[in-house]
Amino acid sequence: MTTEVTATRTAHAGKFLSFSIGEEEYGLEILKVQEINGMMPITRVPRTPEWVRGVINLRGRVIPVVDLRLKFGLESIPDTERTCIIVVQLSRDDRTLVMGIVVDEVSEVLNLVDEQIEPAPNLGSDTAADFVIGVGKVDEQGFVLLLDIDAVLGSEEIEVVAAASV
Amino acid sequence: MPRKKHDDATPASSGATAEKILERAVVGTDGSPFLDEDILNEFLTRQKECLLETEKQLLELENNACGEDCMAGVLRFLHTLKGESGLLGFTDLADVCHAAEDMLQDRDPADCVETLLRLHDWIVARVGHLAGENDAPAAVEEIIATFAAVSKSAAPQAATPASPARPRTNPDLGPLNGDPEMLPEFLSEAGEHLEDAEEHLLTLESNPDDSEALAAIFRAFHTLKGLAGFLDLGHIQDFAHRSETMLDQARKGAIRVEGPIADLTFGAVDMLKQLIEDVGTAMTQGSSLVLADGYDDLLDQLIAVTEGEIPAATTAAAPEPAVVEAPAAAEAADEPDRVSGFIPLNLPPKAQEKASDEPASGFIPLNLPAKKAAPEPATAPATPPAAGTTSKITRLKEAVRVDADRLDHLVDTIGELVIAESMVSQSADLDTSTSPHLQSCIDHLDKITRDLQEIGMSLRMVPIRPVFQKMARLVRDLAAKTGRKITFDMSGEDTELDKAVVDKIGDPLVHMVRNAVDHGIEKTPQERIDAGKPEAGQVDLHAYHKGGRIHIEISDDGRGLDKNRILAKARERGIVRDNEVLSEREIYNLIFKPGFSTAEQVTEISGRGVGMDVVRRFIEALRGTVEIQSELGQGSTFCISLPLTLAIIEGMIVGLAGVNYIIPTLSIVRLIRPQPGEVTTVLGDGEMISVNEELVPVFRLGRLFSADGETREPHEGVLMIIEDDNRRAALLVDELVGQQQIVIKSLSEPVQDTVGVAGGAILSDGNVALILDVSGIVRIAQNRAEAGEVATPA
Repeated sequence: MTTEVTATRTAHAGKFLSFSIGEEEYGLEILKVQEINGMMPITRVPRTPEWVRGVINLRGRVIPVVDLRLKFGLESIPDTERTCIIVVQLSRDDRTLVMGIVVDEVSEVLNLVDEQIEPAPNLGSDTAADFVIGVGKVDEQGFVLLLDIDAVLGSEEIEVVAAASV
Repeated sequence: MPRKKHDDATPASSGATAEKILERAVVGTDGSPFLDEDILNEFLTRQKECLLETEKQLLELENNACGEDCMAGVLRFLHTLKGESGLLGFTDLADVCHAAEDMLQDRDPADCVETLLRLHDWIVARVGHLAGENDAPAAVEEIIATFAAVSKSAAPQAATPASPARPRTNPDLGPLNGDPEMLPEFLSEAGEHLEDAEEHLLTLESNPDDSEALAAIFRAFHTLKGLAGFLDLGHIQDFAHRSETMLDQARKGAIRVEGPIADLTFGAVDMLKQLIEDVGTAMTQGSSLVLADGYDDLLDQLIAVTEGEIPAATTAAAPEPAVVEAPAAAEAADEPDRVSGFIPLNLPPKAQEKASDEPASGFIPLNLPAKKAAPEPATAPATPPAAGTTSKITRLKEAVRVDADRLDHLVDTIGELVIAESMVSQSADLDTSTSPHLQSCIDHLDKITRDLQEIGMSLRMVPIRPVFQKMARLVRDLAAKTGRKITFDMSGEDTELDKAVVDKIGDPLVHMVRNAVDHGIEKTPQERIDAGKPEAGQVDLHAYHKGGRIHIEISDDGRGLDKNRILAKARERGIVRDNEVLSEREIYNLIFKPGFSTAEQVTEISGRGVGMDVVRRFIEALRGTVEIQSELGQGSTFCISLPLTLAIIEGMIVGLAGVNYIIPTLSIVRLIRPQPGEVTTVLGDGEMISVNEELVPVFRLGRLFSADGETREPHEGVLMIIEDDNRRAALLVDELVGQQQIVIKSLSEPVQDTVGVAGGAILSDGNVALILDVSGIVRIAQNRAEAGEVATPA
């Protein structure tokens, strides 16, 4: 797995979709989110990394789905009825790329102001930390790690996938 | 009449568009035009289309196939390109067009074809450069210099048709002389120009000092004049000219467009509308053209105003437009089809009758004595009962230019609808329902869905014509270059196939046409005469539908393929073993081998042995095949067979560990359910099966894909013998599920480049199945075998 990915962006005030993976809460800029779907049949693509769950039929389009849990190096768990596929739109070379990410549970939409956002702490070489662009402080829930989803599913990763699949 | 010009499909550019560009383009501080990307794109796209059309006209011109019409088309193209590129700030394009127009004015067009073709190529290169597709072409001066050589030797003729100083001849009305193919275009364009003129006239009326609006109206009349002139519509040309001259006075500040003069200009616009509508009627009904009422009066007034006479507000100028306007409006109300841009769309007979029976509308039916009362005396003898032209009825087609992405989205959505529909109609809940009404509704839904699917598929279909036209040009150039005489014929250029295929078929066709000319046709005319053939070689290109596929045939009547020489060459190169016996087909297929060439010498055009290899690769990438038929000394025919569309394949659905995969039926040679023991282990290393006494390696798809449940033995599953690049392999899968048409969906990151997977498809249950890439799978299998990973079977 790559270690070169560093979050070059910092989070700005705005709306974030929060979701949980394991014990942790993550946030995703709402503008990146196209839709949220419940679990649906996923066709596994052979000879791809474990964290590529496969492809789904999104109303006639075949889009890839990445399991964020596996991507972050966590244990795989069976899907529950709370497991969701968040369909995100990524920008890549002037194109829009649509991809699904599997998360344990979608929580809510947070409205964060600048005072609630702190820069990403240095968490060492933890994979997930590379993609964190800030930490949002929410009273009741504590902290939400704000993700740079473009970096999480970024091109550096894709090269790794391509190399692994030959 | 608001009408989206952007969506209009008339390929020819127009002053209206140019005007729009002018309005939106902002000239930067350094004087260079700052262009909206959309405008530039639209300009470039249109020019590319026009260039194709122009090339065709030039070629026809050379063969005297169309004469005046083609010349008019070429001139029109040059003129509009000049105008538009001038507005966009591409002065070199404008200059070159202007120079070319000058050249053509005093020169027999047929003699300029060579120069014009060169000019055409330059414009193509320049437009391509603007689009960022290729490097900058040679300097514009070089091209213009070539014109000078042609122009000087020419005998000067009378003044140009566009010259405003030249006195007009009387309008010469009669059956339509213009190219029926160009008329519909002219009509819609002219309609647009007039709409535009009207719009700006309204602006001008409220603000007579608006020089921008005045210029726009002027341009509209000017363009219309030019268009009408090319199409031999003298009366329209004349009228537009007079209007233009009057407006020129306004431009110079001699008169102001307000009050009676504004009325007069409106009257002129309405009159032109009427005249153009008459042309449309004449075309669709195949009848003769007649002058509209009030034509002369209006013309006289225009001249009077131009000469400095200010009409009183109460002169005939004001009522004149009303006379013309009223019936036009009434008709528009009656026939909604004609509202936009005056394009009569296959008028029902009733409407036609009405139009011709209504004298007030300005139509003077040809057979009525009233014709004598036509205001222009000169027209009476010039309007003979046109018996020959009555059958010449041209149908008008309207087209809309649509973004390809939107089209794809529509097709995707239709695909999804088809799946959703089948989920409903096959739902188990329906079995418990006893309502006959529901069932009939679902049947109806089913039918509509299928119709929709068919329409969706046909949307991407375009005629192969542009590619064929390119070939016509290529043959001409090659023949000239190699000193051969070649007649080129094509048929079926309207055959439609997927746009993606049309875009990609050009390259292989170029190679094959080059081969036909350079290798096929004998080197010298004498050689042909000696062989008892006509002096001119024949190269033909045919396209046709057969068996759900598109066939494209390139045939020549040249030397044909020499089987013995090919075989000897192949033996010499070690491609074929000495004792190997090959069928005719196999021998011919040898020429597709990379680096294989029987040409004695490598010429500029062909002979390096790369061509046919490229052809095969391209065609295979399009999932097509090439067949060769040849008779030594009589010529060869190469037949390309292509699927109608790249989006759909015939696929075999197979099951493996409960997952469905799709294998393109084209790559499956046969299916075998092996007997126990039929699959043998070789050297304890790999599995083989003997098919027709040929040993074929067996690969277990489950192992290659690391799927679970790979305990099955070969005799419990199905072996698919697949062929890729002449290598065969057997793939072991669990079961056959079925065979059906598959709509291919491409995969995106991060799974797009997965080896062995060519794409995805949505099955009728709504799930995604992966389409296997056979050559990729064979590659994986071989890599594993080389790495010693293939374990001995349990």
